[in-house]
Amino acid sequence: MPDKIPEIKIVPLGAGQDVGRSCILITIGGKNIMVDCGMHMGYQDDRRFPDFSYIGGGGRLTDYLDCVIISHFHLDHCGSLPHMSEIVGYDGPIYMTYPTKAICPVLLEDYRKVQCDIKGETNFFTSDDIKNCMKKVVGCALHEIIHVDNELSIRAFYAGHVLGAAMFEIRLGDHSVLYTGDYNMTPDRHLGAARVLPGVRPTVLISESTYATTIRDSKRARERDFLRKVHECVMKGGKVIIPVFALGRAQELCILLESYWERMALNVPIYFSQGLAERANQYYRLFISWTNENIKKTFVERNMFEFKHIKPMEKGCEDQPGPQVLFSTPGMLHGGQSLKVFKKWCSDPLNMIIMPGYCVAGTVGARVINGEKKIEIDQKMHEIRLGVEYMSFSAHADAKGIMQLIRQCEPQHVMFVHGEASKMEFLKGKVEKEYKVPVHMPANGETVVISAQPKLDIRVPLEKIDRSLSLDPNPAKSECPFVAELVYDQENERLNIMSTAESEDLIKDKNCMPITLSLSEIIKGKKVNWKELSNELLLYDPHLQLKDDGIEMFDGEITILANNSDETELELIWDECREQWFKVIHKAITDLISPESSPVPPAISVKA
Amino acid sequence: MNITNFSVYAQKPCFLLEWPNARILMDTPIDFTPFFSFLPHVYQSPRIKNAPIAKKFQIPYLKELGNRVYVESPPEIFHVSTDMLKMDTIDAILVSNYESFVGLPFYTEGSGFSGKIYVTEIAYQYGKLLMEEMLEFISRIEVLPSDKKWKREEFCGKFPNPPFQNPVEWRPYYTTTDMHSCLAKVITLSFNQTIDLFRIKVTPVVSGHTYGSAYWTIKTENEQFAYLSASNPSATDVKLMETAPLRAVDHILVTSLSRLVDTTAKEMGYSLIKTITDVLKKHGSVLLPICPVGPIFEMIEAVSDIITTTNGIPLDTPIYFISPVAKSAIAMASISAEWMSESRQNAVYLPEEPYSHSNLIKSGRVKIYDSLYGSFSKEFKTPCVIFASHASLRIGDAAHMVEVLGSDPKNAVIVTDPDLPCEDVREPFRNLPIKFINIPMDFRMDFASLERLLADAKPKYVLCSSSYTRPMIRRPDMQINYEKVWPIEYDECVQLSKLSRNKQKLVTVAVHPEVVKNLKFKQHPSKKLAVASIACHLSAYNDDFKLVPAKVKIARRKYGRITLAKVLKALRDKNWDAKEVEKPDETVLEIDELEAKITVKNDGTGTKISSNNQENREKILEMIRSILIEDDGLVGRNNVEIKPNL
Repeated sequence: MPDKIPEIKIVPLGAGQDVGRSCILITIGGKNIMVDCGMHMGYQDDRRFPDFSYIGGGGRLTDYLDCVIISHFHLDHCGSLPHMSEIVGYDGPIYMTYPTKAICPVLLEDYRKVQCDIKGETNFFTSDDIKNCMKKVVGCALHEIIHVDNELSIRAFYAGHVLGAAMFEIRLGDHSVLYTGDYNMTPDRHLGAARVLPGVRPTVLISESTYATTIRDSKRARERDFLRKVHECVMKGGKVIIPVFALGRAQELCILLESYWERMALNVPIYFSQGLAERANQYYRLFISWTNENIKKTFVERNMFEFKHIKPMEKGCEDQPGPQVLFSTPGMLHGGQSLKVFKKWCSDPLNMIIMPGYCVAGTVGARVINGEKKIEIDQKMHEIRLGVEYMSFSAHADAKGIMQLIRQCEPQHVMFVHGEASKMEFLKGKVEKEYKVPVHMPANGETVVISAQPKLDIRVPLEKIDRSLSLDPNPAKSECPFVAELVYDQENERLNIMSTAESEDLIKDKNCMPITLSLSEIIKGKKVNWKELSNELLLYDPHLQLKDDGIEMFDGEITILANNSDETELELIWDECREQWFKVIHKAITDLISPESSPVPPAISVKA
Repeated sequence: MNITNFSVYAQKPCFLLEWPNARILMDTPIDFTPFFSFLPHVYQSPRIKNAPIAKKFQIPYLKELGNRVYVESPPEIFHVSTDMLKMDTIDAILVSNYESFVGLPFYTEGSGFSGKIYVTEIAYQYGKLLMEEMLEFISRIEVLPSDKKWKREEFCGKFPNPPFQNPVEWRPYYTTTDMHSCLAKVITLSFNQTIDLFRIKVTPVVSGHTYGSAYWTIKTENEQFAYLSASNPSATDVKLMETAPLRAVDHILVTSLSRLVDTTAKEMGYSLIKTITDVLKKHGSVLLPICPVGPIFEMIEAVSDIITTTNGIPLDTPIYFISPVAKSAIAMASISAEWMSESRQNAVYLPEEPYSHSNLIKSGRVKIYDSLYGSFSKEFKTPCVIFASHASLRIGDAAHMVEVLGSDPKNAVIVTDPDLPCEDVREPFRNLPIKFINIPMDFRMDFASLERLLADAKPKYVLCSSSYTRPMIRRPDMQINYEKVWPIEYDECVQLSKLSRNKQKLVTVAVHPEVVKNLKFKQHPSKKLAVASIACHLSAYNDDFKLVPAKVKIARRKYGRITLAKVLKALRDKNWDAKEVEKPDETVLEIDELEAKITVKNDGTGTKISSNNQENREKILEMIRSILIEDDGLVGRNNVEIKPNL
């Protein structure tokens, strides 16, 4: 059945030309899929959620959405999920990888505590909401094809970035959307590089563009810079705070500091937020197969995430005198332990804060990075005198990585999300110039409609395929003559190829009999040895027939006859449709009977 | 598709699937029963080491023990002949579970195989551990390989315990080099990951038998086929079997059914627990010769529960897990939650390990050793429970532990492998007082479960080894009862197409937009059909079929009559002079100007253009074409052209 020209509609409800509350609505072939359901940490009002009233007009979403997909556990990609499913209302399936399914509720609960118990928020999802939401989650393995229903299927690919992060392909018939979520084309110490299977060619690639204009300097150079800054600060007796999300960056930086401390024989204490440290490392151990090859190989003997120099933070240790390094959560200083410690340390110029990740606009972290010297935190003004360093350790694809992914999967269209508009514009131009594909960068609430190229598949009888292949002597089989009749059944709106028998049946007119056109050429040379010649030609037609008057090939479509009584002249006759074989056969004959050729040794066996 | 059965054992299947363009081997089984012809290899046992040379044969390595004759040599394996399979022509091997995986190097190394091997990720990991364990056991054998003299009929045929098979066909175990070379050809898959092998879509589906075990759906344009390997629809620890894909296939090849009679794996489980409890209560030790991966994980927990909850069993009764790969197996179990049942999987969300092994090890209840040497020999105490390998009791640590515990009738060896007969396992230890108890734990699907599965899936045909259609005496329930079942004998080849009505084989081809754009449809005068002629190139490059625009003119079929009068008129229009030479049935026109001849058949059905000048041939061909009507689907009518909505 020929498909109607399909339409793919994509609307960002979040992460369109900004970072935060990632939420992309994809409509493909009448199916509605929500990918990611994030939280914007920079707002405290309803703007932190995607605008769900865009669909369903504020009502429940179960009847509208066919499925929800979460790419990874960061709150700007999953933070609104309990709100969406339990408060707005959604009871359909929610897909995410197994590690994401394990870690997601921990971070949601952590965030909920900050909002409700610390900030006194009342209109927020509850612990029970989180639990009930997670009951709807279906775990996905990498490369597993999951049939959401009879037509819609999804498939996860490794994204790097953080444990369990995945790119998702959403497919319906011949058309698909590949959504990257956050990804990293460069492997790091604990995670591998993003990769899709060969042959994935989406209609649309939706790519994050967090670092659309960045080609980050050498990873090793950034790491050396980080280590040097930490070392200098603690040598002066200062304290270093590194706000991190509990999972992902923290593991990478811990491995880095652990090996540096070991190498330099330092004894300055390094602490990790107590609440999540042990659990975080347990998740890494349980899902070790999602990390990179080096860690996988050693995990039986030693857990890579058990550190000698790094200890869980104890109550009050942030007040102890002397240098120390503290990894604390959350990563954008939007509450919790990291903000509490920051308030205590921020007025001392000996101290330092290293921001290793992207900070959403409006958070304390973002304001610190922007160089503000006075920041009001919890209705109290704080002097910011400590050293501020921003070092991008975020495991996002940079411009080079984004271009690499586009080259790998050859999409028909590209869409950029999760980045800033001006930077997207730059990369858009570059992609359009290099790959000649349309690039879209919608703002939140803006609909992009993509009409996929019409694709027509027809079912061809195998006999016609074989016939076509046999007409082309070239082993590549990339240009085989194909002749057939297409029949469009107007009652059933079905397109078929006629078989040969059906084709003959339509011809009734006696004045229109099939005609055979043949061509021939004379080849002169030595007296022919028919057996020898037929052995040579068997290579091309195993059903070749050696007859009294010559050789017949391809059921008579090519024949070779003696043209004189001495058999020193041969006539090569071929049907019009065998034109491509003419040169091959002609050369074989010429090679054999040409007076200049050396005698061919008698064939002992027929070539296979 | 052709299907050939290459295994004499239905529960250890090996089938070859053949298409014109591909040959795929399903599973690589090995048979351990040849081990029973060999003397157990134990580290210190005067009883075995001093066994006398069999008087009857006077060959130094033929020993007599308990009125049986054993070969003192590294034991050998039976597997399907790679010559029969023609491994150099096999394109791919699909391995269904880690038991089959262990046999791979016998098939892939030294046989000319150069294809790819596909298996699930976790079956690969566990299969690799089993390979490593066996190679370690083999490397510990101090005896040199014997000559092959004993394999002659006049020797082994006269053993009181003659081999079941012709030992000439047995092969020594593969080497570590073979293993590494084999593993380099493996590609691992997730469940439900579809791969395309020469346009054949292959998908491993959860079979529920062991960790990572899969059955396979295999689909081409015209065939929907499932290869049902060892499966268990009632699994409790491993991921639950998926049966929905079986409803979408026409033919199911059933293999590897349970060998239990009048009992179930669950009942055997209860029996095992009761037996262990009874032995421990009487202050005996239990030896469980068992594979170091798979069901052992649950058994360790079960034994720990027995010790904890049963009055009369000391709480400090140790559980020993002895294997060169014990540590790796325990570690692998802790990171395999994705491949486990939902209840096991839920532990990682707490986050805890799916099994309590780590806690049991920390508390000293479970102790892990990689061999009997070293700390085990100092720390070993009885009563205890010992998990060790190999289940055949001919190599490895388990065989030695039988000797250690054998003198005490309170102790027991519990044989659980359903494919190794308990009496054969026991034979060399028959004179020892230790008890041997047979509790086969066969987790494969039984005939009743299969019957329910087939009733749900409703395939058009069921294929199976012929042994599954020959009932045991008076046991019609121990066979496959399905309305359409096709048994396949050993070495028999079945053509699947014979089971279908002569359906036309169709191939899906993508049509390039340019080709679509240029289609011209004409309305059929009497039927509700529109017909368009298509002339283009077919690309089959990389097995990806496409119709693409032709760069050169494609010869179409021609209609009409080529009469002599028409040809002569066309020649005159071109101002070419022709000399007519009449012959029976045809007329030859010689055109000196073009150094060419045209032969016209008198019945008007064909013509031949003869010239050694290609350019001139083309000119004449063009002239002839102008006389004729090219095939546009509906020849010779002034039919209405329409544009269907595609």
